[in-house]
Amino acid sequence: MSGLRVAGLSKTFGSTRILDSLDLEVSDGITAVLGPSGCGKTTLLRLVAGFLDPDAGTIAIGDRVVAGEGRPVPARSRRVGYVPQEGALFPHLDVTSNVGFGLARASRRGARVREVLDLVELPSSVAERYPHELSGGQQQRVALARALAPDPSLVLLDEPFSSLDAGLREDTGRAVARALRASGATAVLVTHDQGEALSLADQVAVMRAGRFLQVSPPSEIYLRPASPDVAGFVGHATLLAGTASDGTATCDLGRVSLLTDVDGAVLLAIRPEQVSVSPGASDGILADVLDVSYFGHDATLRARVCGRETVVIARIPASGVPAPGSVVCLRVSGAVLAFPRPTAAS
Amino acid sequence: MVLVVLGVLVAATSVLPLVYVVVSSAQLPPGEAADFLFRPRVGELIWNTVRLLVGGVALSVVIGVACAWLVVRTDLPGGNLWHGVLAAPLAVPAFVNGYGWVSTTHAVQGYAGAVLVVSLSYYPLVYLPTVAALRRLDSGLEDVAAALGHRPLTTFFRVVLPTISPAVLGGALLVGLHLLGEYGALQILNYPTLTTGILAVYRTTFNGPAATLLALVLVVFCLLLLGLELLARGHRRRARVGAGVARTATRSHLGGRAWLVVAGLAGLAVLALGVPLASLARWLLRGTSTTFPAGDIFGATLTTLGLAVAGGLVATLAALPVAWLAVRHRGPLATAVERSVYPANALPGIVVALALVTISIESFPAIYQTLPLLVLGYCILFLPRAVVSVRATLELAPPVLDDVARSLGCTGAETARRVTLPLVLPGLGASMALVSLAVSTELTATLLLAPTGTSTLATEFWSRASAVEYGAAAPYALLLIALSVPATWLLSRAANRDGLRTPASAVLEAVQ
Repeated sequence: MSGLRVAGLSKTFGSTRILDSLDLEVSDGITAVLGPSGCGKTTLLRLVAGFLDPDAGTIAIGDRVVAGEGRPVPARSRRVGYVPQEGALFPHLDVTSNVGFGLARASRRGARVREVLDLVELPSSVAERYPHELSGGQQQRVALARALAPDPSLVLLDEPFSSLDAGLREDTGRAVARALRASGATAVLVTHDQGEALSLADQVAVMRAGRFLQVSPPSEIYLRPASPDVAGFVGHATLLAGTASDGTATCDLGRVSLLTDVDGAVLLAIRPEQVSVSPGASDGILADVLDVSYFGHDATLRARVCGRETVVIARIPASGVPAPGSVVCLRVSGAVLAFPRPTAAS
Repeated sequence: MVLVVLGVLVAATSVLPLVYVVVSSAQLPPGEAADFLFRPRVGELIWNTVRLLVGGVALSVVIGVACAWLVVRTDLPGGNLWHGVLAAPLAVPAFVNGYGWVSTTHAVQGYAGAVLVVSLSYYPLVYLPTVAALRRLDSGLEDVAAALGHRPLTTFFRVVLPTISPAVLGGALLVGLHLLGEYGALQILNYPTLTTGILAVYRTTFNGPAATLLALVLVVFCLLLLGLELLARGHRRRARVGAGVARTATRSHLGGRAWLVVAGLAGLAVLALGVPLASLARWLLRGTSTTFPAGDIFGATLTTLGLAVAGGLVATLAALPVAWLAVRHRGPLATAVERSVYPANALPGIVVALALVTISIESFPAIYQTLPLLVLGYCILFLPRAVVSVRATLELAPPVLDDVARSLGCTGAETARRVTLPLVLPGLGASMALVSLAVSTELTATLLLAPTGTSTLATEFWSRASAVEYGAAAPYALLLIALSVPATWLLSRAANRDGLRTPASAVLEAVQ
C-alpha cells in the first residue's frame, strides 16, 4: 500500500515545541498541509523526508516504518521525492542531468528522463538548458520531474509555488497536480495559500501551532469546518457571538437561521458571500461602510454595524459598489454555521 | 567538531601578531617606553604619517568618487573604455610607481609629491567599490530626485552620495590602511613615516623594544582609523536593490563640458599610468645600468611564483574551515571565529612580520629564517581576503541542494563529489588566485621574513631601485606589473557587473 502514516510525531527546537503529537494518514492522491508560516508544516515535511529526526512518534511510508522504531532510515534510502521552495535545481547541471540525478548511472540520459519531462509537460527543447535559462514555472516543473524520475512512492512539495507570480502560479499548480496524479505517487504539499490547497488537493490538513485542526476533503473544510478557527482561517468567515434556540440565533446581524442544531451561547461563522448588502436603507441591519476592495469580478466590503463594534466582511457583486462612508443595510442569507461558545462561567 | 578546532586554530593564529605587539609593549618598563616615545623624532614621524593620511585619503576619495560617477552615471565619450583605464593603476604596485616618478624627477620627494604619488596608486581602491555601489544603486532614486526638481549635481550630493557612502567610506578606510602600511613607495620618495621608521629602527637595533613600540603606535593608528570609519558609517543602512531589478540607469548629459572632462581623465591617466610606464620603458631601453641578468630574473620569478602558489593555497585552505563555519553553522562561536580573522586586514605587513620574527626567535628558533614562516606571514596578511571570497563561493552551494541530493539517494561523499565540489571548485581557484597575486607583489613583510639568499621579484627590484640602479630594476618592475594585471582585471570586471557574485566581487563588497 502506498501512502504515509504519521503517529504521535513531536519535535522540539530548543524550548519551542514545533510539532505536538501529530497524527496524519494519507492514502493516495494529493494532501495539502495548510497553515500560516511558523506553524510547523515545513518541519513536518523535513521529518518525513528524513532531514530531521523526530523526538517522539513514528513515520511509516507505505508498509515501512522509517522513523520511530530503531535507527531512523537515512534520507537517501527513503525513496521520497522532495521539491523544495524555488526548485533548488543544481545550477551546474543542465535540465537532463538535473532530472537524471537520482537515476542509476546508465539511465541518466536515457528514456526515463524524456518520459518524466513529458509527464510535467515540458518540451524536449528545454532538455539541454541550464537552470538560469528557465522561467520560474519551468524550474518548478523540472524540480518535480527530478523528484519523480526515480519513481518514488511519496513526493513532498514545500511551498513549491510561492515564488511564482499569480498568473503563473495557477497554471504551474494545475500542471504539477496533473503530473502527480498521472505518476500515481502519493503527494504531500505544504502551503500557506488556501486557494492553492483547496483547488489542488484531494485532502486538506489545516495546521496551527504544531497541531492539525481538521483533516478533510476541500469542500468539507470549507462548508463544514470543525472549529471556529478553521472557519475563520479558511474562507475569512466573520465570527460573531450569538444566542441560539430552535434552529435560529440572534446576533448583531439580527436573527439568522442555523445549519447545526445547537442551543445556548454560540459563535456564528458568517462567510462573506452570505452577507448581502443593499445601499438604500430598507429592512435589515444598518452599517457604515469602512472600505471597499474592488477586484473586477466582485468586491469585498468591510462595514461596522451602526452603534456596535462589530465589523463584518461581505462579498458583493461588481456592479453597484457603495462608497466608503455611506450607510448600507446588511442581511444574512441562508443558514450559517454555529459552534457552541464557552461562556465566562464554564 | 574537527572543523571548530581548525577554525579556532586559524583564528588564534591570525590574531597572534596583534596580541604580540600589545603584550610585549605592555611588558616594557613604562618609564623607558615613555622616554622613547616622547622624542622629537617620533613626533615628526607621527606628524608625517597623519598629514600623509589626511592628504592621501582626501585626494584618493575625490579622484575615485568623481571618476566612478563620470563612468557609471554620465554619457562620457568613450564610456566603458575609461573603466579599464581608471582601474589599471592598481596593477602598478605603489613602490614601482614611486620608482617611476623618482627616476623621472626628484621634485616628487617630500610631502606634496608623496601625497600625489600614493593617491595616484591607491585611488582605485575607492574607485572600484564606488563603481560597484553605483551599478547596484537603483537609478529610480535619481529619477525621483530629478522629478522633484533637482539638478544632477544636487542629486549627486543629496541622494547618490549618501546612499553609496558605505562603499566610499570602506574604500577610504582601505586607502588609509594601505598608507599606514606602505613602505617601498614612501622610502623611495624619501618621506619618513611610522612604517619606514620601524624598518629603520629594526635595521639598526635588529629587534629592540623600540621597533615594537613604534609598531604599537602604528597599530593604534590602524585601530583609530577603523573606529573613525565605524563612527562615520553610523547606523546608516546599506543600499540594497530588490531581486532582479534590471533597469537602465538614466545618465546625466555632459554636453559641451564632455571634452573638458575627457581631457581631465586623460591627464589623470597620464599621471597615474603614463609617467611610471614611460619611465619604465625608458630605463628598459636605455640600459646604462642594465646588464640583463636573465638567470637572476628567471630564478626570482620562479621563487615568486612558488611562494605565490604556496601562499594562495595555504590561505585558501585556512579560510575553508572559517568560511564553512560562518556559512553552515551560524552561531556565536562561528561569528567570533570569523570576526577574529578580519583585524589582520588592518595590520600593516611590517607589524605582522615583526611579530613573527620575534615570536619565532623566542619560541620556535627552528622556523626562523625559513620559507614556512614567510608563507605563514602571507597567510595571516591575506587571510581576510581569502575568507570573504571563499565564503561567497560556499554560499553558491546552499544546504537545500544537499537535501535534494540526499532525497535522490546520494550518500554524503557522493553529494560532495556530484554537487558541492563542482559548485565551489572554480570559486576556490579564483580566491586562491586573488591571494597568490597579492603575495607575488608583497614587499614589506617579504623583506623581513624571507630567508637570506631567497630573492623574489619584489626584493630584487627593491635592492636595485634603492641602490639607484634604475636600469637594473626595470625588468623586475615590468614583471611585477605583469603579475598584477590578472588581479586588477578580475577586480575591475567584478566592479562593473551587477548581479553575479564572484570571489572578486565579494572582496569588493567586503570593503563596504
